[in-house]
Amino acid sequence: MRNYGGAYLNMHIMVVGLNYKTAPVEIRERLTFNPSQISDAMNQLKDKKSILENVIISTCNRTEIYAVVDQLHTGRYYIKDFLSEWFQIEKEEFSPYLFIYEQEYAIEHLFNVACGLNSMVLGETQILGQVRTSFLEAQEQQTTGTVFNQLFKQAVTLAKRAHSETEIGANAVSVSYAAVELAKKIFGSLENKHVLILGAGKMGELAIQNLHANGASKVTVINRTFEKAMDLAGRYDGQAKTLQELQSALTEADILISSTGAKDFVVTKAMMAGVEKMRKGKPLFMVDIAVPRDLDPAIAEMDNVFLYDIDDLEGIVEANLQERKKAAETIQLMIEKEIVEFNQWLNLLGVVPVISALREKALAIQAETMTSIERKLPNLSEREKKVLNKHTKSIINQLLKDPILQAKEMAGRKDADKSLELFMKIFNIEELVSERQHQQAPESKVSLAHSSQASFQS
Amino acid sequence: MSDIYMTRLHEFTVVIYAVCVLLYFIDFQTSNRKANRIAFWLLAFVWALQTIFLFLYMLKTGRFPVLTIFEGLYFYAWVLITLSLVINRFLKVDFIVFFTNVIGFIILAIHTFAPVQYESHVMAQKMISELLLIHITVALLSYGAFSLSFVFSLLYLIQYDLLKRKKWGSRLLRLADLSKLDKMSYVLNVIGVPMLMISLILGLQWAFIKIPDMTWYDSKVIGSFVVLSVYSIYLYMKVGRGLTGKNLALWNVGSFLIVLINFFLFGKLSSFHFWYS
Repeated sequence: MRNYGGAYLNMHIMVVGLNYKTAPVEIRERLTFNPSQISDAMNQLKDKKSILENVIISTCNRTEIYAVVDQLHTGRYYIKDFLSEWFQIEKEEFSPYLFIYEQEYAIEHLFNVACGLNSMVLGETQILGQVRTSFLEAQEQQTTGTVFNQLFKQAVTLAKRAHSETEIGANAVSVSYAAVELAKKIFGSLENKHVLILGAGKMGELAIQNLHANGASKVTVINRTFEKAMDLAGRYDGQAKTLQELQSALTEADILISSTGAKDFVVTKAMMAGVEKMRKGKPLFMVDIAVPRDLDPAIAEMDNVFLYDIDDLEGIVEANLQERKKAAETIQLMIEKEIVEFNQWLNLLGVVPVISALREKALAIQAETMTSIERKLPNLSEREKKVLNKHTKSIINQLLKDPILQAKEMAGRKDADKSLELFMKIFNIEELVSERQHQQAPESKVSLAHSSQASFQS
Repeated sequence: MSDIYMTRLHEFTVVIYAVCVLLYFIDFQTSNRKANRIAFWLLAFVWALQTIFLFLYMLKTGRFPVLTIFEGLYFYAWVLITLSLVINRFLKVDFIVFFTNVIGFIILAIHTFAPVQYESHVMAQKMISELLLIHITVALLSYGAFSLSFVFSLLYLIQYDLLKRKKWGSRLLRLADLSKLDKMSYVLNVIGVPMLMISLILGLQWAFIKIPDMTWYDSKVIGSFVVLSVYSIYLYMKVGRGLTGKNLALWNVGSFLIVLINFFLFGKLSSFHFWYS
C-alpha cells in the first residue's frame, strides 16, 4: 500500500464514540461520563499508551473521545480498553455500537458535531457549548496539546461563524415553538399578554406551558366541565371561566389556543363580530390545534385577527426544516474549507517530518536488532520470534512516547525552530528529516478522500 | 470652475445614492446580507458628502439653507438619511432604511432637477428673518418625522399582510413585530405633531409681521392645517380611544399622502410662499 498520509505517519487524529445514531439508549446511558468526573477520565486516558492528546465530550445523546495517537490501531485499542475499564463493561458488549473515524473523517466529524449538523435537532446550538466546555476542561487538565488546541479552537470558531452567517438555528422546528414565534411576530414580547385556553386537555396544557415559559402571565381557561378548567388554571395562577363567558373572554384575550373535542365550531364568525368593536383593533392571534377544528375559518377574514390551524403551523415547521437543511449545506462547504486549512496548518508544523524520521530511525534500529538476534540465535521458533519482535517494538514505542510528545509541544512554541533543531541534533536525524521534507511536497497534493481512506486501512 | 466640480460631485452623490437604494432593494428581495452591508456603507458615505455640501453651502450663503425649494428639498433629504441612519443604529428594524431612503432618493432626485436659485432671489433676501428660518426648519423636521412614521406604518401593513396570508419566510422573519412597528409610528407622530404646530404658529407670526395683506384662505395655509388636524386625529384615536391595528396604520399612510400633496402641490398655488416661485 502506498503511504498517502506520510505526513501523519506518527500523529493521528481519531474519534471513538457512540451517539444516538449508532447506539440505543440502553447502551448510551451506561457509557455516559459523569460531568464531575470528566477531568479524571481525561487524565486517566492521557496515561494510556499511545494517547498523546485527548478530549472527552459526553452529553445525553453522545459520548465521544477525541484523541491524538501515535499509532492508529494501538490508539483504537487503548481507547476501547479505557472505556471498558472506566465503565466496567466488557469490550464486546459496547464495541458493536462504536463508531471510529480517523484523520480527516475525525476532523470532519468534530466540525459537524460542533456546528450542530450531527444533532438530533438539526442545527441546535447547545452542543457547541458542550464542545467548548469539554475542550476548556481538557485544556485546564493539560490533556490537550498543540494539535487539539488548534483543532478545537478552530471548531468552536467555525461553529460560531456557521451560526451567525447562516440561519441554521434561527427558526422553530416544533409546532408549539412555531406558535410562540408567530405570537412574537405579532406582539413582540409575550410579557403581560393575555392567553385564553379553550379546552383543558393535554394539548391545552402544553400550550400554556410554552407560552408561560415565554412570559405570557395572564391565563384564562375555559372548558366544558368547569372543574377541569379550575384545575388547569390553578396550576398557572390563572382564571377559570365557563363556556357562557367565552364571548367576554374573547374581548380581552391576545392569544387564543383552542383544542376542544367539540364536533362543531366553538367560536363562530358571528360571535367574533360581536366582540370586534370592543377590541378596538387590538390584534388577536388564534391558534386552532383541534381536529375537527374549533374555530370557524371564516374568522380569518376579519381585520386584526390572525387565525392559524394545525396544518398552518406544521407548514411553518416544514419550511423551517427546509431552511435548516439549506443552511446545513452551506455549512458543509465551510467545513470542507476548514479541514483543508487545518491540514495546511498541520503540515506547516515542522514537527511532523521530525517525528516520522525519529520513528523511522528507531524502527530501523529495532529491525537491525531483530536480524542480529535471529543470526545469533538461529533456533528460535516463529512464536518466539514474534514475541521478541513485539517486545522490542514496545520498548521503542514506550521510550519514544515522551520525546514525541515534547517535540510536538516544542513545535507550537515561539522558538520552535531552535528547539526542533536541537531535538534533531540529539537524535541525529537531520538527514532523515530533510529527506522526508522532500517527500512531503508531492504528497500534500493527494486529495482528502484518498488519504482518509488510506488511514482507514492501516 | 469650482461650481462645475461641485455639480459633478453632487451628481456623483446621487448616483451612489441610487446604487445604495438598489442594493437595499436587492436585500429586500433576496435577503442578501452582503448587499445590505455594502448599501449601509454607501449610505454613510452619501450622508457624509451631503453633510459637507450642506456646510459648504451655508458658508457660501451665510445662512441656514432652507429658503428655497431647491434648498428645502436638499435639507429634507438630508434629514431623512440622518434619521434612517440613526434609527438603524439604535433600533435595528430591518427594511426601515430601505423604505426611508426610497423617499429620500425621490426627494433628492426632484431636488436635482429643481432650478438653482440661491443667488438672485430678491424676495428671499428681503423676507429673511429668524422667525422664517425656524418656521421652515421645524416644518421640514416634522415632515421628516412624518415620513419615518409613514414608513413604519407601511412596514406594519406589509407585515400584517404577510401574517394574514401566512407567508412564512425570511421577509416575515426580518420585519419587526407588529407591536413595535405600531409603537414606532406613534412615537414619531408624537414628535412630529408638536413640531408642526410650532412651525405653523411661527409661520403665522412671521406672516403677520411681514405680509400686511395676507390671505387666510391661502392653499398652503389651509393644507398645513389639514395636515396638522389629520395627525391630531391620529393621536386622538390612538391615545383617546385606545385604537390600534390596521385601520390606524392605513390612516397614517393616508395622512402622509396629504403631507406630500401639501409639500409639492399647494405651495405652487400659494400666494406668498415664495419657495416655489
